[in-house]
Amino acid sequence: MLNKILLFLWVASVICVIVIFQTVLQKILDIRGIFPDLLLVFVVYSALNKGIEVGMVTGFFCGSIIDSLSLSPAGLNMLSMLMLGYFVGVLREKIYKDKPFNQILIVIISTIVYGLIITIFIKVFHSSNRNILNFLTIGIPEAIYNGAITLPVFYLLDKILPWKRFKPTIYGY
Amino acid sequence: MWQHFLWKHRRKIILGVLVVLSVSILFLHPFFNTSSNTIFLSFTSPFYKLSSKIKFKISNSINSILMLKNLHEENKLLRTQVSLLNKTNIQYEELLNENGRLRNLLNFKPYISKKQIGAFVIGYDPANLFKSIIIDRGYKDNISKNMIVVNDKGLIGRVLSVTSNSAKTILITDAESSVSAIVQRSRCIGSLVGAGKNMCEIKYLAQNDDVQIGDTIVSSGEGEIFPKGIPIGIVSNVEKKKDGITLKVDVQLFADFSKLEEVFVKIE
Repeated sequence: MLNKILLFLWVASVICVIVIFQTVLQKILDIRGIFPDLLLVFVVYSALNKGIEVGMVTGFFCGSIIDSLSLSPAGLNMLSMLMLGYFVGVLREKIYKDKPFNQILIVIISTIVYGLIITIFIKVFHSSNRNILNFLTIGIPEAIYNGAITLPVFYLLDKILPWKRFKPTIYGY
Repeated sequence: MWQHFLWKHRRKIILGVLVVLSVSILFLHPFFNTSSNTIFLSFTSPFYKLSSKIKFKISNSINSILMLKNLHEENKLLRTQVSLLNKTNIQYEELLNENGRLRNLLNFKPYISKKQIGAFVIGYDPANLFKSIIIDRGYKDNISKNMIVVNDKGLIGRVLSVTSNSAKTILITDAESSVSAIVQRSRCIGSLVGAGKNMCEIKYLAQNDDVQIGDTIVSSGEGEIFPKGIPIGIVSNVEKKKDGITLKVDVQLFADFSKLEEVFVKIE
């Protein structure tokens, strides 16, 4: 029980550090106005390494943090990240082969899908000025950037998080 | 029996509960947007302040070490600039006084308030699609919603939500932001909206409006939020739209939104 609490606190502090990087120190990582979405990369990492449940819960909490600090409508990032955690978790069990190329591809696709969901939802329900052009000029470079940092971030998280990797065939069964 | 059922369907249960929770928050978003934002912001702003202070200290130390080499030459240059600026400042104050007297004679209201409060940027929007900042001043410093935020170069945005010691500001580069802007030379008025990536676009300018590359754009004072005459940027591109009615006018902003560190909030 104590181990579980310690693990939870450790993961929470890693999320805190990621949030600080993404909000306070984002200009360090900024390239021509675009910075990587470290929280999204973390959600994908959690879902890939710990499966559906952890992916969903991490996605939900990371999404709620983004909702609270961003201009986006409350609940939107929560729902999008939750679904992202779920689908990446499902993908992990079905086709994931633990190859670096797959990890990069999953992060890129996740960023694009996530950006599209946010843009379409805001456009439809909030009759906003944001359009698909906004997504293309911001979302696509962000996806490439996220893809580029996937391997170093995954490596770093592997080192600092005491989560043990597991084979997809034995997980949950 | 129940335990077996819960364990067997745990994924569906977790997914269902979390989806219901987020969808309900999404539908009740006007309430949650204000309350969750302010609660979370007031809880997290001390951490932001602390981390931004550490960041400033580290970057200042690195900058000082790097700049030590050119310090002597820079000092000389700055002294010359200070003396020049002092002269310009005296002239400016004279003009300001004269302008005030003439405005009084004509019974005009002053459009630029002198009351402003300095603030540090302690956080940025965590999502690329949205453009906002968090500043270290709140309602304890008399900051309230819709107060405008500027820096030494020009307009930055307006305050969107306030906690006791921090405030969230929507930047003019955000697609949701809209400012009534005027071309200083030709007095044509349009609506300035954010185009992301430190750029803005002026909408609703007709094709026969007189707009040229290099024209200065300032706030027009129409509407209730932004006062008249705040510098915004310079026209960087003018194109006729395919609709045959309006122009596409791109504006390069005076303020460098990629390096926002200190801003001023206009109290009045």
